[in-house]
Amino acid sequence: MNVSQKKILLHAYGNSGRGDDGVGNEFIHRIGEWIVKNDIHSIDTESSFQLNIEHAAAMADHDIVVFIDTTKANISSYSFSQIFPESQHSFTSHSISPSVVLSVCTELYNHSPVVYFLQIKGYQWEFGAGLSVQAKVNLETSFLFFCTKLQEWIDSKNVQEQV
Amino acid sequence: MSNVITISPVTRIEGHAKITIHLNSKGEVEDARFHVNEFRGFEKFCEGRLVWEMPGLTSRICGICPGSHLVTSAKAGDDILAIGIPETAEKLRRILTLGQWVQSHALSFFHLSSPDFLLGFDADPAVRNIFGLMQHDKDFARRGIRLRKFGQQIIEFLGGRRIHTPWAVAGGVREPFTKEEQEKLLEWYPEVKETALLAVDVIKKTHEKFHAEIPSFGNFHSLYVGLVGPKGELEYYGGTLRIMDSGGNIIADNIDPREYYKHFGEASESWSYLKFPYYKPLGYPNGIYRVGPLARLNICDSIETPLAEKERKLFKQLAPKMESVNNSFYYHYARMIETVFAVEKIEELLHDPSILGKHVRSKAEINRLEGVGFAEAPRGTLFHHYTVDENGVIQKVNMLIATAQNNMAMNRTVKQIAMRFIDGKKISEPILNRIEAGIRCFDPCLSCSTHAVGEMPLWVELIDEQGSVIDEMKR
Repeated sequence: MNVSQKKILLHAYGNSGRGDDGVGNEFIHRIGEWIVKNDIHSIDTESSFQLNIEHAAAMADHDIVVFIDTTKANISSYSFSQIFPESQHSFTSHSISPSVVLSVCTELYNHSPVVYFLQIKGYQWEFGAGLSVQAKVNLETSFLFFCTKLQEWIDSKNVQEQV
Repeated sequence: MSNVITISPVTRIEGHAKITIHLNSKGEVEDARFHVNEFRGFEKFCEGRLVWEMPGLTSRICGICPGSHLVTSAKAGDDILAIGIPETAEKLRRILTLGQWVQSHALSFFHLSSPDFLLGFDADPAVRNIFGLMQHDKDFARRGIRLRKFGQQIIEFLGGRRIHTPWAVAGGVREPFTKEEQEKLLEWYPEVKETALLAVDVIKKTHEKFHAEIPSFGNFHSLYVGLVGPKGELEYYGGTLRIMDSGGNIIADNIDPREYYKHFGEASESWSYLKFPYYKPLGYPNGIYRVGPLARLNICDSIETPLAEKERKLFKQLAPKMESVNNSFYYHYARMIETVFAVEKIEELLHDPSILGKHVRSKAEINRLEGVGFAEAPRGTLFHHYTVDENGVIQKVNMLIATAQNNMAMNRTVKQIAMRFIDGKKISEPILNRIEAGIRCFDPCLSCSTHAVGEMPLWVELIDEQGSVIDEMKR
């Protein structure tokens, strides 16, 4: 059994019914299988349609949180970066960023986990379409990267050292 | 010369929209419009799919109220199969519907609207939001999150996940409920009941504070439409349709919801993708009606749970002589009374031993080529109407969504607030927020009401008296 020194939450969001928007949820499915196969504990996973305020409560129970989403941004395959709290003056509940959720967590629960954002490049967003071929490639590439990163965290006593 | 003031995007509502306020040459408000720019497409997308897929598909219309679409779609499927579903399945669907109410109502009040109530419409916009609320009262903000999570947890327990669960199906539900989940929810109940009652108290205390806003926040005559049970009680899953006027008179009752299309038409306007449903006997636009919490509390004779019934009686005192409560500002109040009802009713259903039954699905072939499902979604009465071929392949879909049914009322609300607060050709931030807050009374979900597909650009147009666009901004 592998037990991480830190409690880790992996949270993907997106609509699996809309093409590549569901790549994060597929990522979580894959990583869930990897966690079981490697008998790893202290890692929680969650999939949701969109981020919302209440996700701050789950963040408060973890030391490291990784949000996974698809992106239209001009990147090659995926990007992985640390994010920091950010307040915004107004929001619709259909649009809230990981940085804002982190801000809510910090404000309401006096807890600031280390938070990363894994963005996987997507291409098409039609209803009922599955993942595009290129998004599947990006999913695989990011998955391999992230498994290595996760293993580093599990093996490390201090996550911050690995950043 | 005609002038147009445009507010876009409207903040703290579900989805995106813009508002244009049309001034006459004297700088007085002549008209105001609530434009919805997202386009309709989900109904077309469903054609060619199997009726058994529809609950899972339509629950993807929106991330806020997927449970309502799920249950309503499954009921349309029941109608097409022409079967009754097992008692356990109906009770579990009822619990899910109420869980949906709790999470959606909590989001509307605690996260979107309470900053206005607690901090005031004139507060600095930099703090008049959820973050300002957190600064103002952390415990209250945390309670709101926990209340919403309770509703989410119900959906997750029943459906296996919080959103887009394909759990409800034509003929019942896929999986039974477990004792462990039942016990966890019952443990949570005292806290959520306390929070729901606290929210009702907060709203009641703020009514005095907003004496200037209340009279002009969508205060007009309209019809009210919703479901009631056999004794006229508040209903959310079954029952029949009742229509009441603003004077408190029942003008139509015991309407079979499956025949909704005989009573309600849908008009269109060139400036909005959102349709304008109306009550057919009065025509368009005279057949304006409202649905949702305010309508439901107006039309029902009682609420079957004690704490909510006590609050309903107080609510009814807002209107003299047994008239309807006609002010849209009180949507928030009604919404939280409904939340009290929902948590009380959930507790009652959780204590019912039959919810742990294992027989949860009836099976049948296609027995009708047309079916209608209906339920009270958080924002109002929801209808799913499907036509299928003999193999169950969807030929046509019509979804009548709560937000669309409130469309005329939202427009009238915007106009009324604009006329009351705008003086001259400038619009200040507090006025802007009052207008937006007027719309938030209805808690509109534009993703649902337009069955939105894809991302819609927002745009701002400045139009002169000839109708020419003299300025434009897009993002």
